[in-house]
Amino acid sequence: MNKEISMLRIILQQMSIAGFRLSAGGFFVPLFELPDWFTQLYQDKFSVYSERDEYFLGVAFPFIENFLFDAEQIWSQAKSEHLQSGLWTEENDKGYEVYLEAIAINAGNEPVLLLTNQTTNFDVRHKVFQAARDLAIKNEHLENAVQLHQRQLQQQLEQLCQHRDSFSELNENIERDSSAVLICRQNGEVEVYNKALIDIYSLRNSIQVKKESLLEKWVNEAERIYPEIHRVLEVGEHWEGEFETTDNINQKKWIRLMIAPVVNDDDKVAHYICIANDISDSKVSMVELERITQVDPTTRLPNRRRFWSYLTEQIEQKKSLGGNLALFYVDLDHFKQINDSLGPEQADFLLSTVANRLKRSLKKHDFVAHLGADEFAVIATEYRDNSVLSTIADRLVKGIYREVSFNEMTLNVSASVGIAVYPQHGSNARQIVKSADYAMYHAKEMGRNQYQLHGPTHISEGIPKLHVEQGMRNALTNEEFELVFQPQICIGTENVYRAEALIRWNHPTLGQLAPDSFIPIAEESNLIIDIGRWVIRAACKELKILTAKNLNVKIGINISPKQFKYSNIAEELVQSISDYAVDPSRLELEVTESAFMEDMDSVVNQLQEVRSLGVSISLDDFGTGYSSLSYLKNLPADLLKIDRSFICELPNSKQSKSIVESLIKLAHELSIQVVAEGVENETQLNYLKGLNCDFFQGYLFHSPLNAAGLLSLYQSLTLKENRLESS
Amino acid sequence: MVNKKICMVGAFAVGKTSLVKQFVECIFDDKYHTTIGVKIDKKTVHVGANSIQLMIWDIEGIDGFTDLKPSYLRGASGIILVVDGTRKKTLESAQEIRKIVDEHLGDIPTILLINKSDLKGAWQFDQQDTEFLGVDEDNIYQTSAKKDQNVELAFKKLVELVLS
Repeated sequence: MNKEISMLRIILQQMSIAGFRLSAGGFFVPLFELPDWFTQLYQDKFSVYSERDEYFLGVAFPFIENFLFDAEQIWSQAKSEHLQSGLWTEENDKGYEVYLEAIAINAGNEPVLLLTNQTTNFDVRHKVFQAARDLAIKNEHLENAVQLHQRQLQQQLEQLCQHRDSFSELNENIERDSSAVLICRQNGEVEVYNKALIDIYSLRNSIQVKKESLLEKWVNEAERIYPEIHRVLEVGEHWEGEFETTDNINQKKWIRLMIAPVVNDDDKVAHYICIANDISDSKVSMVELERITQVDPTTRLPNRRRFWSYLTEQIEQKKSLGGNLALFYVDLDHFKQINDSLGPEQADFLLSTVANRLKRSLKKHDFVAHLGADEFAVIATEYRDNSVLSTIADRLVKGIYREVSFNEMTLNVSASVGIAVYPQHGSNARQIVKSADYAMYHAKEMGRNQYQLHGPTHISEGIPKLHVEQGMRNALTNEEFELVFQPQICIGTENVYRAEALIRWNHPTLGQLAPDSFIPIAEESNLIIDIGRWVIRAACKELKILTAKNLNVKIGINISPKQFKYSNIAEELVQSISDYAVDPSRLELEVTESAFMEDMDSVVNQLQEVRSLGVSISLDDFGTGYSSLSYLKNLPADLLKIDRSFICELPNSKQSKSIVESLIKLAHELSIQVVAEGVENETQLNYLKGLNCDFFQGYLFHSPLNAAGLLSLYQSLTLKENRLESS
Repeated sequence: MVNKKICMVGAFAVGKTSLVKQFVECIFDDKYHTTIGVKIDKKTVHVGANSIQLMIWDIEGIDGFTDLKPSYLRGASGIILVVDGTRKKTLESAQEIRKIVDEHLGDIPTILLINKSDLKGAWQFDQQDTEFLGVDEDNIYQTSAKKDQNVELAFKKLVELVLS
């Protein structure tokens, strides 16, 4: 937990966020050290000096005072929600403007308020909005000019029409006008027209104009957005509007049309004066204007705003017409490290590269958006059935997982993808996004560079613990648990086969479940003792099979701290080793640092007993817990596993580099071998090889394999080695 | 001193920020700088024997991609609705805003400013065309932030309405 808190502190500091908790006394208490910009601004706005950590944000900032009413709604709800205030501007004492946004979060029933400083990003956002609004004003002026001209021309023509029987003389008045003019009888029969009309409609000659009943065509086209047009013309009233039309060569255009009836002496409509202008350019720029406010400038993909409106529209459509929709939530792995190490320009280059890769991985009906930072989203609305979702997700993961070349280096980029389906995983956009985000997070937890579908694997959400507990009891009886094995690789001359055993639950209705969805509940209910016992026996059984095939593999088994407390591990090992007649040196117990926390002496004694059986001991997730390096010499360990959180930051993070280097050096001095967990790319591997790390585990080599897969892997490796030896 | 919240609302680029700047700081900048979000300015006015601190909420103008957030109106004592005399379209936005204000604040003191009176030759509508907005004729002002025409008068009128 300390590590998470420290990470959170660093994140808030780096993002220049002032984080607060609302106290019962009505004032705000900082979560961590406050950024300088905030302290200065608060002093400028709130002159009452206090040495205590009590901040009266509503008093200092009227905008926040107003926002707190909405925030209270969020904080009073039991569920985790958040609310953004929108941007507001404060001016500091020196006259500089600071652009801020507040976010209210219900963090596990704690009312939390974050203040983010948007000043750095403001310029880009302001430029986009400024350009959009400048353009909108220009268009407005243009439209007004067209409208004014049409009205003046119409008045002029109306006067001329009312005093003439023949229209031929009107030609002179209209021939050179930039507006298209058509004067026709009530039935559409053409009396007069000008060149601009021929140009707008790409007509070939005058004969065609005579034949074309443009009035009827216009009325039908306009009716789609002006259903009242028929009625207006029938009663002899004047009509004007803008609509999309199709010209003679099937090109779509926007026109502004005015239709003015000319009545005869009997007060009946004898003719219509129609004046049209092509306004496609300004319409296109308005569309462009909407587009630029909904496009992310870095990737040129639709932005978060467009994503939400599209997702909502699509869900509404599916609600009325039926059908499914799938959301793929894509999050780049370790983007922060890349951003920190290479700088924002290279990070932008990476984001646009990923955007291109995503586009290439998708079909034309699929929608892809850049939601900000390292998050992307794909919405698929036209797919056969849910069975193809894994194919799409696989295409996305593989599409991204390739090298990206920067000026001076090459990096492997990977992403974790979460999938949620409407309507199975939520009935509205917000629920679907949450489900996909949760699944994405699960994909990260499972080792990154992979996808996870929301639902079956996330039983801890929504299903009562008691049901899960009962399900696990049945699982033991019904043999629903299974071991899978993640190989550990030794890069050297010695061929050592090692694998870590990982549990899976083949749930009868929910499918295969990963341990993080049921082990925490097993730990709480002490069912972990029975499950732990099953794991030892299952691992021994597998060893027996491998040994029978002449494969000398060492299998690591994870042991819960509760097993040390409530069961006799050594005794259980002796029993299983004897029952399956396996070599104890082929077994290894993986123990986390937390096992030593409660009663270190007892655990050390038990481990020494285990070691005396010939079973080796490895220290799992080393570096993440509470123990210091000095403990290491007192622990009966043969192997040390460096946690993935350090490996994933290699070689860019100075801190992780120095921790990993020290751990390996110290372990080797104590004759302890080292496994690096979570090795995901060549850069990490090469760096670790340089430090003489003994073993490597991670998706760069193998994802977890079932028993048959493990057997097949080691058989093929043995075959290869034998061939090499004989040649 | 009494505090009163006043909201400046209207379409984009009608001159809300310029009006506030003219009223609060007696400054006018000819260049159009679009507002994003909200900026709050304070100014103390004296009406008779009363001193009142106005908290003027200059709220981003509405357009095709920005709506008026009703939560920004919460607690307002008065509304200044601004239209641009040279742009008829700004009347449509004003009508939309009137509806939102009515829904959330009911019958609240409101004044209508037909801004840019320095460009009167280019006006596309006159005061009569604003009748449909339902603002009392006495509460409509033709203003120019550039020439400082009727700006202070209009704000003071609103304060009177708020206090009455």
